[in-house]
Amino acid sequence: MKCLGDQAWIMFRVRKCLYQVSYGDGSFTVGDFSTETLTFRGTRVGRVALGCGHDNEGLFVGAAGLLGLGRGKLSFPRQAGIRFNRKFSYCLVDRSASSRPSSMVFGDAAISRTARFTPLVANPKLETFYYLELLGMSVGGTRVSGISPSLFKLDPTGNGGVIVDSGTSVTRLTRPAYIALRNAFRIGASNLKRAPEFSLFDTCFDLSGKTEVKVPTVVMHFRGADVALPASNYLIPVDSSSRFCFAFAGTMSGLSIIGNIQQQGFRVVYDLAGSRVGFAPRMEDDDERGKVRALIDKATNSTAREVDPRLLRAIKSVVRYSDSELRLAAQTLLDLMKRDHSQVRYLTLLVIDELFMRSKLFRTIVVENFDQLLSLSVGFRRNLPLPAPPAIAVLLRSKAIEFLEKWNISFGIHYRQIRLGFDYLKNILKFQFPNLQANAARIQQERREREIRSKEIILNKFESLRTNLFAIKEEIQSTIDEIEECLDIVCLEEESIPADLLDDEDFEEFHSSELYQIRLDSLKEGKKVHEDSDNKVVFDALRELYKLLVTKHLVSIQEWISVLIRVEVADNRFRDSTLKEFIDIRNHLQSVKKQCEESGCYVPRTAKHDKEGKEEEDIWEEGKIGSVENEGTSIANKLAEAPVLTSTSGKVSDDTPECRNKSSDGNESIGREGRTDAHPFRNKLLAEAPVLKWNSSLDTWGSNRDVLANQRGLELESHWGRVDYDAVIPADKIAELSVQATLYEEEHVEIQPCRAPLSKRGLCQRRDLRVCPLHGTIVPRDDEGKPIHQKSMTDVGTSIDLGTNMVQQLAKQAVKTVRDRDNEEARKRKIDKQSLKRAKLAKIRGHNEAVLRDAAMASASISAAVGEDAVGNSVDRLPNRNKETLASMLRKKVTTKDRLAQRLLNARASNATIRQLTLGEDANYKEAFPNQW
Amino acid sequence: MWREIGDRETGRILPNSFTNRVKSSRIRTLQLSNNKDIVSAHRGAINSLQVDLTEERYLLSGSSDASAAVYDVQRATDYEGGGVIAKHRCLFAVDKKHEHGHKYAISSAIWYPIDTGLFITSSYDHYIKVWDTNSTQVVVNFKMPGKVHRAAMSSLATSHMLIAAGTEDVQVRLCDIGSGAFAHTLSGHRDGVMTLEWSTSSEWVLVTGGCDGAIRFWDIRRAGCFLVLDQSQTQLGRRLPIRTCSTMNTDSESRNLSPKSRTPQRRSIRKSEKQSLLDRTSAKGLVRQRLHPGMLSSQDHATAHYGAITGLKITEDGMYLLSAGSDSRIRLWDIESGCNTLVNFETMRLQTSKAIQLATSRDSALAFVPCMTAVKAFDFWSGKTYLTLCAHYEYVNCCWFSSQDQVSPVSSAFSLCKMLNCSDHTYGFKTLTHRYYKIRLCHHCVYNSKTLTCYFCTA
Repeated sequence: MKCLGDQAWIMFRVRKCLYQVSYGDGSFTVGDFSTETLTFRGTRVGRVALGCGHDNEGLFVGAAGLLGLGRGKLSFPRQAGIRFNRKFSYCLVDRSASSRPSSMVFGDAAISRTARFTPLVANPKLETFYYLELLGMSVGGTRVSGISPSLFKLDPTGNGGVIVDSGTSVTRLTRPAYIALRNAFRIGASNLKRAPEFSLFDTCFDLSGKTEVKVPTVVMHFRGADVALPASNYLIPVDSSSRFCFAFAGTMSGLSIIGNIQQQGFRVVYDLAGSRVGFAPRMEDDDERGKVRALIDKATNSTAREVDPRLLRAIKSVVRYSDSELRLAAQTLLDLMKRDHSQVRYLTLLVIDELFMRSKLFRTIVVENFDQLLSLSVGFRRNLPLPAPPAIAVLLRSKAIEFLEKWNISFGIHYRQIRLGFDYLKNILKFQFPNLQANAARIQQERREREIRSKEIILNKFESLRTNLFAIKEEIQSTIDEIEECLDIVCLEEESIPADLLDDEDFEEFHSSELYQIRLDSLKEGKKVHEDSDNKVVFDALRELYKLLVTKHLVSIQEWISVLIRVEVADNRFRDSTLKEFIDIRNHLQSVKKQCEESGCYVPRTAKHDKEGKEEEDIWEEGKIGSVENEGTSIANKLAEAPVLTSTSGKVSDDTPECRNKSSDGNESIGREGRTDAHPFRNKLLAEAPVLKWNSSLDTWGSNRDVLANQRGLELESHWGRVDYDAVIPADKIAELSVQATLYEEEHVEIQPCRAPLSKRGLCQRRDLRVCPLHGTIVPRDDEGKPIHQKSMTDVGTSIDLGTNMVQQLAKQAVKTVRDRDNEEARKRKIDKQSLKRAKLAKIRGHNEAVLRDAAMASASISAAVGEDAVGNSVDRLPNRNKETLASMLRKKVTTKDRLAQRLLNARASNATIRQLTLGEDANYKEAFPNQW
Repeated sequence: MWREIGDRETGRILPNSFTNRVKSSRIRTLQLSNNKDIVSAHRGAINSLQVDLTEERYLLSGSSDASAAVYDVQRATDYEGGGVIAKHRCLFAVDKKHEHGHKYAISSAIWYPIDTGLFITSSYDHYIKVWDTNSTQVVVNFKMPGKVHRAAMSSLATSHMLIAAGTEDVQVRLCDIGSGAFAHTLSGHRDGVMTLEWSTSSEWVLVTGGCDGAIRFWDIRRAGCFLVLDQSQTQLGRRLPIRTCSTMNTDSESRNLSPKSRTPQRRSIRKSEKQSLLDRTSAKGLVRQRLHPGMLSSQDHATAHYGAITGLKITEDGMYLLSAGSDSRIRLWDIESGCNTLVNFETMRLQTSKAIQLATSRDSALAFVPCMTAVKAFDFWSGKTYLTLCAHYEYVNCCWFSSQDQVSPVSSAFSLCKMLNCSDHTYGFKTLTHRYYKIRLCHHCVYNSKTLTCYFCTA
């Protein structure tokens, strides 16, 4: 397109019109002038004057024609006039970079909504140009001070001014304006490497080796419209070596021209009716459109079980602001759902769910073809089953059903299709829905009920406490009193007796209270009480009382405290006071207990440590009040446990407190001796005992307690409907469940290298089990690679069991031995025997063949490995296993059987290798199934 | 819409054309209704649907689980989702448990055309039963020779109360409710009769479509059929409008097959009519036997479709007949000339094993055809698919178009065109004994066009 030049004139002649047009660059055209009716997509424009050029020179060469878009009377827009409302626009694209053609619009549709308009200025002297009013320019965000509106002023004589022209490539500015602009740009782009100038461009840069550069922005300020140029409109590549030039040039004349390089990518709107020109930055919609599609493709092309969250976020952010994007995304996703791969469908479904929960428009689009979506994701139609791989297909189905339920709950009321689909799958096809909402509600309900129940229980206990408080205190007090009495007696009695050794183990455990320390010190001084026949009765009583104290009072106090802490009553006074009292009592009890322990009595515990730990844990979590153990008693427990833990053999005697008491009826030292006696036995046992790695099955070792099934640790409630919280797994079941599992570990075998001599000196270092693919059977060899014992092997080689023998060899050997042995026998008899042997061998051969066939089918792993190594051109091996692709998910797993079968079928494998291989296999098979051989 | 109202206000368009425009624009924007839910009382596929002709209020459905149910489509029984979704539960249902209920699938359920006091059900258990709606008791019971595929009553009949029944048997029987006996037996079909329809222009004319591919027209006052449609006899497009026709043909008034000839003295005219019809065809070069209204054996063998006729629908004006066959074709016939109009309905698949129920809009602009799991609306005269209504998950067996005009005070526009339709949920499962059962289940859904409700019920 070229504006009609400044020197156009038409020559009329009689009968025949001639025209001649010449342009500023010297090109001209001469021909006949005529009128014609032009039709544009059904719009006819009649009597358009045009020239039929007979002599076209200059830039016309190679062009089929030229449409004049100038402002003059002969230009096409002016001639078409009212037909197109005197409006047109064009969008020029970068010829080298864009795939889409430039476009041109005539008529009202030419006006772009996003265009910024600047008024046209008329030049009465030269009406063919579109004069604009350029007020200034900015580089890097700041106005270039050297460019003033006066530089672009159209003077009354018709000189100067700025025109916009599609026929000029490079923008020309009047010299002073250009210099100012160029200098500003050079300063802004001083970080770039300069390059020599090129043609009319004096500011060039060498951008080689860079993928991204920062350049100052250039903005042209027209009256009423600021046009910010994209970087590609003022930095253009001029050669292939990354030389970019600043695409402005100066001109000596006063006329400035906005050229088409600077118009690229803009829709330039000429509204002659409104006498204005507009610039609209072209929508980058095409790239964007590609973007969401690419993102979705990328997100779904993965083998992971989740969509990459970054991609998902990217998709969401792209889709959020643009409806057209969303439509495209929906379309893409629905297309992807049709892919013949469950993994793709699964990931697509995840993306659909994300968008579905967020966008109403997306929902309305998806819902239109809801049955299709359902059939593709649930696969309820028999003729449209879900595609491979089956494992993902199952996942896909369950996810789809879950989503459907979720959608139905959230949006069912607004979308009939969702309701219908849900209804159909649920009531007609009887699909099992996870029923999330109802489940959650039920669990909530149950929890609430349980809480209420436990509160009631606590309240009841509290009430009973209120009534029994005095009795309880009384009882405890009496016990304490008795203990103190006993202790007094003991202390008095023993005062004279010198102190003996202290029980170290007990000693270890004493840590806490100050009182106790003092007590301990005093004891250390030599007041250790010893039990003997005199004070036996007192000690017995003391022990009884101690037991009572520890097992009953301490526990009950602790329990009451916990009840008091948790109970919620209106009147707090009673609660607080009782709580204080109880805490005092507990402390008192503990001190008394320690006194007792000091004087050498303790109550052994029945339970083992780990079990108790478990119990404590249970109680801790469940918060049950009825239970016996708690923190308070655990100190005592530990004391009691210490000796028990040391030996497992001692456990038997420690089973019940009564037992223990009986054994401790004697002297303390006896008990200890018994334990030391146990040590040798234990050591013996330890010596024989297998060493086990620890695993969870040892948790319950030796315990015979029932375990609550539906408490923490064995959570079943979320899987099977209603839960019976009191369900118990009996101890023997627990034992059954926690059977020790051991993994078979293969013994490591050193595989001997082949060691056959190689042609390039040295020995073959291949390590194969039986057969080296290059050197045959592996035999023991000496340092130079010569086989040893070759002879002896052939000597013994009559037996078929020696797998390395070949049948022919065997036959020969057999014949030979027979000859040696029966040398003197008659020839005839010899032949008879020979034939007999032959028959036998034939039978063996037949048998071997059968075995060979069997072995080919039931392959052993070792032989497969041999086979694989033997054949260099094995094709089945995947190049890199760890790189998983969608296609690989569909591929059938290659089994050793397949490999072996292929290996056997492979024509290139040598016969000998096969023979060796199968013989090796024979041996294997024989070892594996001795009975069937 | 608003422009049209403005035009109507200024009197630029006539009231009639205004109503037609509004109606047709509404029909053309038919879509699934979100807030009208008909809750199916059936556990099987719905084979038949009809909204009563007097009030257009009660929907009768017959299902393959041997039950029939009646719904009020105007007043909802309860609401869901905060009053957004209106649920229409059945007012009553009769099923196997009823002492006189059908034993096997109900093939068609129709209202007595005069009022809603009676309805008729026909079933595969060989019975046709007439029910009293108010007491839900069987009033009359007809035992048929085979499975009944379809029963029909004439909506114009004033002088007879006949139920036409198409059965497995080759004969079509007419059951008289008044006497409780068979009034006629029409023989001519060579195979079972899948579907039949009464003419909408004459109370004496019955159209039947058989498994032998023939569509026969009967005048029940005479023996034998008087017309067998032949797919090879064609004419292009629709006939000229009557006005131009009458200017061309002075005697076209008498030639018109239509209907208002109820008085006995006009019967003779009708006879001559038919005569003239035959004359005209003979004038075309076809020889017709005159001694019997039934025809020459060669014409008697004419077929309308390859395979069975599965659906018939006569337009409101009684001029055209729409037929569907198991060859998955839909043909539009000019009843007067008996010619195939060669309207090419776009390719689709039809159910072949069962009779399907077609529907047309009032102004005969759209034809609704159940095509497998969807209902397609075809443009009547071009055969192009106008709408595809899909919400069913199984095959659709029947659809019903019902339009209801209500003057709304604000815009003096109309509302309510109802579209009822049915699907069939078929699925199989294997029991332990490896016997294969087919179970049909059902659903309802309602289509909505803009603010007005146009709805579907599905099986």
